[in-house]
Amino acid sequence: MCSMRALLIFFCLLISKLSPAEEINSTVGPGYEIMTNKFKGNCVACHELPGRQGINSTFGPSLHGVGARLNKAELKQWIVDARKINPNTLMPPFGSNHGLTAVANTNTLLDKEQIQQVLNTMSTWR
Amino acid sequence: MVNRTHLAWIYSVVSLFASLSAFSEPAASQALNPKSGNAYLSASMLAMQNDPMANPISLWLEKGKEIWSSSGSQTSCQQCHGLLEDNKSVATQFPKWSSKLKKLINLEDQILECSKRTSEKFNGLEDSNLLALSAALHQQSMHQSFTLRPHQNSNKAWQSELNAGAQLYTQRIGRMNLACTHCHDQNVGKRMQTDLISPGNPTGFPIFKMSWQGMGSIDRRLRACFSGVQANVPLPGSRELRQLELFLKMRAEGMPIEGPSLRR
Repeated sequence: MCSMRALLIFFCLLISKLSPAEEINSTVGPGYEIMTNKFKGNCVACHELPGRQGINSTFGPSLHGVGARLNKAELKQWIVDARKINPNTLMPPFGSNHGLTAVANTNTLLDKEQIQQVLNTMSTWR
Repeated sequence: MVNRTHLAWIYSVVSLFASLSAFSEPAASQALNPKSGNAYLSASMLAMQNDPMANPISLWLEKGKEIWSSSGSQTSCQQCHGLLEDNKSVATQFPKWSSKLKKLINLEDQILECSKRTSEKFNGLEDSNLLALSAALHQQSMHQSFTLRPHQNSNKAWQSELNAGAQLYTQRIGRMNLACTHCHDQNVGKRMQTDLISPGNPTGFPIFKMSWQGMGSIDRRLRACFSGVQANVPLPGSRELRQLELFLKMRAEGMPIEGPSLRR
């Protein structure tokens, strides 16, 4: 019984050593899926994302540590409509179609629930 | 105290710098960023492009040469235009204003128009045989620059189309709310996953794009950009695609045409 307990503690320590809890949580789940899906957020097309191997995008800034640089309200504004922060931004407005021209689809790029899921994921990247 | 010798020395230094800057200053007809898409190919793709036995475009070039001279019951290209090798500057002149059609036409439009008089029938602007002819003509114009000028009777209309092309190039469109200039001027060399952003100089069309597994015209490539920014995609041969093509080719003025090229 005692050895079983020691074994369990050993495994817990091993897992926590290999991959910190926040890294495990931040690179799986619906938010991350939206960010890496070509037909959804596709953030990976422009940004370097935690958990991605190989060649990374450099069009936009890296999202490593973005949760430490920006608070949740700021992050949300960047995702929903970054034009309100910087009118000349190249960040697409994922939650607004206001003022857009020649759009192929009148829906916003992401809906409110998807934006919240992306926000939850990004805020863990510290 | 500044004496005459000192002044002469200062003048000679200033003159030297002035002459050096004159050398480095681009000529009036030089592209702002004269790098072609070939500069962004990987070493293996470049090797494939330079080897006719490995380059799939060779198949289209052979087909183009064959169609040029072959005639069925009607006229061949060669009967009107002579040997293919004698048509060195044809691809340099398009898009140009058609007095007959009262609009800008590109080389593929012209081939389609000509096909009404020949025995060769094409199924639209992306027809493989039409692109084979376009590839063969573009190969003939290799190392030459675009020579796009308005016809004397169409100066105003031509200029208006060019201005519209410039407008399109800088206009934010689609759900991504991006303009061509945001990628192809402001972010050249940056990565979008495995793709490197080029300056968008159209010197290598038509292209064999690996992701298409076939040849495609400049229309097809431009339409892919419209789709990429999630904008309404113009129909092949539409006026705005010709306006954009004219602007892009004017923007690449002075650069050598590289003939049909491979792209990722």
